[in-house]
Amino acid sequence: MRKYALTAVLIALAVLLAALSVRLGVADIGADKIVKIILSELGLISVVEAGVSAHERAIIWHIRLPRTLTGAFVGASLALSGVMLQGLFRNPMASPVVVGASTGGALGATSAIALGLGAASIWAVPLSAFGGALLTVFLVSLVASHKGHTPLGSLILCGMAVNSIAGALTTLVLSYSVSDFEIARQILFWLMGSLTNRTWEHVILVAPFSVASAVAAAFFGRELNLMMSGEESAMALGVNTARTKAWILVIAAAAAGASVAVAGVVGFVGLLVPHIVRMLAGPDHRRLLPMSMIAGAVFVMGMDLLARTLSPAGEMRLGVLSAGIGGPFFLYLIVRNRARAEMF
Amino acid sequence: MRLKMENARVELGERDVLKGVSASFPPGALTGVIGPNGAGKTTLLRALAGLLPAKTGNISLDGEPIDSFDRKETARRVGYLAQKQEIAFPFRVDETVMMGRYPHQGRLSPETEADSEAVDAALRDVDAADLSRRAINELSGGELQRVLIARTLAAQTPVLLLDEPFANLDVRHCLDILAILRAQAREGRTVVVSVHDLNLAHRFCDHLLLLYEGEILAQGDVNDVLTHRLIEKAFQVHPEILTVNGKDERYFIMRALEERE
Repeated sequence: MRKYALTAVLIALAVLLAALSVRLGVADIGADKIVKIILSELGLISVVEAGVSAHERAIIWHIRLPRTLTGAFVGASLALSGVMLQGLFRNPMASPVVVGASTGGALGATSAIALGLGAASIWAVPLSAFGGALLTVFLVSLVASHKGHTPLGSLILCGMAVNSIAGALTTLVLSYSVSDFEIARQILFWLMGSLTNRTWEHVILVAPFSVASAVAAAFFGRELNLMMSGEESAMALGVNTARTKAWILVIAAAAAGASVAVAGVVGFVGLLVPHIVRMLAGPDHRRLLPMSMIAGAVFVMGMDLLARTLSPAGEMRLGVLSAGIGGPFFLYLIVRNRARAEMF
Repeated sequence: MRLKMENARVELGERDVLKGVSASFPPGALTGVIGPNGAGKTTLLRALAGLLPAKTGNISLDGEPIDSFDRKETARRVGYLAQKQEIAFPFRVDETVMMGRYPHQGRLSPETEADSEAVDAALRDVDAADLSRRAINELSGGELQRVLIARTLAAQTPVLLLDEPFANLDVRHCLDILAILRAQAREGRTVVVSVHDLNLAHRFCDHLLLLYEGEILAQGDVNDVLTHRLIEKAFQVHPEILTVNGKDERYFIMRALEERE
């Protein structure tokens, strides 16, 4: 019963935050107007009937709504990626940032921008972010895992090394692009993580990856559970571990890559959210996956709303706030769980 | 199911761990695998479970090569419990034992009545029914071991392979588990277990297989394998064998070779 209550609370929170995120902002646009704008944009009522100004329509439909949706998809995808990586590495310290998926994704995205591929196709940036993320997670899993075991130390150190390499390459791409101010500005944006100026294009870019990775992940709930006692035990219990691992890495990279492509590097979502949900709902991945996705959406929408409220001009970046709040909270969790260090 | 190994050579890294082993594990019997550390007991069990390939020779189940089955098909036939276990997340005991039902479940299908019954029965078998709602990370070493044995039993496989399931168990639960394994064998299963304690091996096993440096030194009836000469050769100790109640009950007391006067 408790898990249904928790799911209901999470969904209610997601709806509430989405509503607040569309309602709150510098321009005060009433809820009745917002409903009318959405209904008229969906073609359910005529524009004349709605009776709102083009300015208000633009703020709601072209600014706040896509920003909110992008945030929800980004949060859900990062949390999904975190759950899958933690399950795969049997390690609650794994996350898209720790294993280099985010940095790899950023490198992929920045390379695509610097090479001007973004102009060729809107899919170039997310696909190359996906490619970068895929490359880094496979590299980390190849180097950090030995005979089906991934010691925490190896994972973290390996993640650090891969993060440094990807970070250095990103800086290199950036310094080659400084002559072109616009490109350098765009790249800097990836390194900070933000939802400012997200448009429907971004929603369309992230949504398919989010939905596809969620659907694919649903098929691996049991396998992720069985990976808990090590690869060999999972194999003995009937899991085709080689195939399962490859799928999990691809799904985690797709989710993380797409998030990075539309919002830059947003840390701690993929680490913190699965942690908290696991504490509340238990470790069964068949519950953990969907619940973490909703919680991830709640977390990112909430952080973005907070960032916007604190600094309407957008100096307070989502990535900064997410790390600024997520980081200390994570430290607190470590202190709290130090006594049973083996579980952490 | 008859499990058979014919002239199997198994490598770990560069090293030949099993150097051409031939053995047959009959259904309805509890076979004990004994031998000193590094003799290849774990490798033998892993190879029998289809987790390590044989470089040459073959391993078969009822005449069919074990590598002709996919992982799920193998897991429906052979249950394997590794010696070392890692636990990463705080699953409940009943959830953990349910994982043993994986080879019988469809990808997205929910757990069935049969699954729940198998889990309950397995937990009762290992005397852990009262632990069912506890988190596995909060169990004692012995409790965890019993739960993991229950997970192996829950798969209801015709073949059971257990690698030293008695480490961590106190005397009572150790005897209980051996009695369960023997009962499983009496029901027609093929049960193979690696054992360190020769007294337990003698008392509970129907057959023994003595491994020494990757080769079989002896196999067959317990009294034919646990002889003075073979124990001394394999374990490098001086055994004293006490016979009680005629010839059936035997006890083995080991002394280091230097202790000999």
